[in-house]
Amino acid sequence: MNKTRYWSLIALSLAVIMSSCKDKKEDDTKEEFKKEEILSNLADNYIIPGYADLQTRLNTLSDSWNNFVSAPSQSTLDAVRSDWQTANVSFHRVKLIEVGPAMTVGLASALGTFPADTTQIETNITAGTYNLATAENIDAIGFESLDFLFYGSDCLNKLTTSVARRTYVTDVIAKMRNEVNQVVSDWSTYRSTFIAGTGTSSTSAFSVLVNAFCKDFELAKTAKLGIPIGTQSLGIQQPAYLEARRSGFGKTLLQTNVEAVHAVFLGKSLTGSNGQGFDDYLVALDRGSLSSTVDARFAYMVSQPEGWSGTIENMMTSSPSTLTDYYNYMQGTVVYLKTDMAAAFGVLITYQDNDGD
Amino acid sequence: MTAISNRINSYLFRGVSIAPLVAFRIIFGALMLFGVLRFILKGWVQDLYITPQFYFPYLGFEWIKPLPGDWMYIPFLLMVVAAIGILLGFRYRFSAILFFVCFTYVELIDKSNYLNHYYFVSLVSFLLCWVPANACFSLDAHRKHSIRKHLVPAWTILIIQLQLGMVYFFAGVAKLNTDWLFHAQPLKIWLQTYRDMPYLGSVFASAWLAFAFSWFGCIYDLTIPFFLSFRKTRLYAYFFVIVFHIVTWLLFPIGVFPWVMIFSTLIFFSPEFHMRWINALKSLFGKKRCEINQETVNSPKSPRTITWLVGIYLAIQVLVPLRFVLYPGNLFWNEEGFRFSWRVMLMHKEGYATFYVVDPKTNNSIQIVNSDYLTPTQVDQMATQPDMILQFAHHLGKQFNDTIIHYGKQQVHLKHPKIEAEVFVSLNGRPHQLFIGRTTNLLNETYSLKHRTWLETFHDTANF
Repeated sequence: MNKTRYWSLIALSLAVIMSSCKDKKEDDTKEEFKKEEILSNLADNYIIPGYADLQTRLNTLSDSWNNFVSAPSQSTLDAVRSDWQTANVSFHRVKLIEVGPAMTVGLASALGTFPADTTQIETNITAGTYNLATAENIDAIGFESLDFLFYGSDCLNKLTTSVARRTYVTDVIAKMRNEVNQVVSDWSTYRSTFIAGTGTSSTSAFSVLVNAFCKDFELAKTAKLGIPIGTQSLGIQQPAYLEARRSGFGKTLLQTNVEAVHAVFLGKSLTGSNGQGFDDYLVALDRGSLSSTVDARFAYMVSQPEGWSGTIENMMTSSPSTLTDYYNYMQGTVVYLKTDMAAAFGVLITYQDNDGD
Repeated sequence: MTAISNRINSYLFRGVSIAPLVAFRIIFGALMLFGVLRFILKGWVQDLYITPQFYFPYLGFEWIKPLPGDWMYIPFLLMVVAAIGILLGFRYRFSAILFFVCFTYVELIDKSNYLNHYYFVSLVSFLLCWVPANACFSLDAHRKHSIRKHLVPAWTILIIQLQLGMVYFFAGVAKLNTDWLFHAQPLKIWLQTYRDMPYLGSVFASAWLAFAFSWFGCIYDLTIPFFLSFRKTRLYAYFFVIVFHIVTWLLFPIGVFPWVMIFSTLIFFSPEFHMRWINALKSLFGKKRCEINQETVNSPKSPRTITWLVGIYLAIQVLVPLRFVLYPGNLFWNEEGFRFSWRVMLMHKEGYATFYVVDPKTNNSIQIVNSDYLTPTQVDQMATQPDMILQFAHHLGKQFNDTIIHYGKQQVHLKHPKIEAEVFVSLNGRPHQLFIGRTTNLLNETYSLKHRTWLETFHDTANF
């Protein structure tokens, strides 16, 4: 909404209120709840520290990779792998914030697209020249490409013997760092825009955030679990579509993803203290029971994978019904987010600007 | 009988000043010109009529298809030309017909874009095809003196007034329901989104404002056509027209339509009022002033036919919004007889629809990602509207019928898959309920006007 509209609306409403001239003093706290409280809490306590953390973790990964390059060995590779895991978890905490700078950079797809196109990666390495920013290379970059390069069969030997392969890893990490650095630096100016984005248009920060929140959770459901276990392929399992299949780290990533969505819902800080979030907004809207239902569902989904033995791929053989149940539970949770929560917030769910009715 | 029909005749065909009609023509032409240009410049031709891979046609209009690719700009450019023609009164009848045909064609392509106001524009441009709105202050009248008139039969203005009156009145009748009046829904949902506004945020978040808006809106819609019709109340009524539509324009994303209504309702004003500003415009062009003089109106060639046609048109306009009474069940939930009834900004539905392509041999399924086939707007619109859900299901049926799908090394031959959907909907902020269950093979259901028995029954919940 542009400024003229905003102010003329204020003027007009003032006139209406003056004329009615009645003051009401009921339960004011609910009406006083501002969306800005959610946005500023998230920005200062979750998003900005989250990106800073990711930046640090990627720097650490870069350092340990340099160590490996100067002295390739199992132990230097193990250090790289460990830092890759930490950085990937850090990324999964902020992946859902596909708003503003991250949306411009396309951070979630640049860092988190899976499965990797290993043929494309090998082709790039063999060619020695490549532009990692092209659309055809979207499956050849990011954390997933590193899962292949750090954990693929015979990887230590391949990395040790091939300069081109090591250069490729260096380039992939450099690209990831550049993108995250970009997002971090953009947030210093974007913060104020974000916090002021409480308007009702589908492009306001709050609307985009709610949409990104729902979309990310739905994508986690579909891509991290659904497709591999066969929900889109007549029940035929497709392990080739698993995330981080070679490291077997996909279970942790799924769990972290759900945890992140839960944290944003509750308005938690990166360190875990609870602030203003979607749950508080729901309570202000007299939808306390919806708030606690969603909270409980997320908590259940975060805790559940603890009991899974082995990787998701192991579970696909040993206990596929556990995964199906979990998937259905995620699906059921999406319903709460995309119907009840969306209805309560009154947020436009599409990005398309349109004449309403 | 003859006495009555004589009175009707003399009422419909008495000569009245053409000024309101000419004014309406100019205003409508200008607004449509602006509206179509805005539509093109916002990139909506691309987004709504070129990008989608699949469209949701109206029942009986399945043969209406978009033109391939950028050719879709043609009907919009023709609308620009036609709107200018209407505005200037240049080859007026041709322009009006061209506008009506192009606009209605575009609207019929995809019901995801249905808006009551688009339907209104279609109807008004249809009516403009029949009235001599170019008989004064137009390029046609300038070129061809013989068509000049200062008086027109009363029905030509009356029908536009009645059309507008019905839009308001039925919009008001539609608001006479418990959600609107006693729960202030959906306004409570929509107004609270302004809770962050400086100074007034908590007012917008309060229930009493939603109730005030709901009741005011309802009473406004029900009464405004009458207050606009009487000379004594007209000016006050028009003040409320302006306030009402500006408030809706400020609060809701409804584009140019508040302005269409603000300017269209001027047709209720007197000939003298319109004469004044038309003459002011005329003097800008160095033209002679129009006067209300004593010329007689030519008696129409076939008054009976016109009377009948006007009667039939009005009867349709009254009956179509009331057709919902023929259907059992909750109107908002089932949406049977919902469109074309001036139910404007009346409810807030959020839905989540998951489609399954089921192999009948094994009962295994493919869960569909709707956005692989539809635009975000289409996904959103479809999720709560049963006829669209059915159309999409049939589309999927066609896509998957008799296909061989490869999954890694395995391949499956899908002969006659079933299409099932699991849909949940939240109506006016209530907790979601099952809308459609997976018990129905949607391919067995045909798209018709019949009551849809495969929809789950709506259960009202008091607590929302």
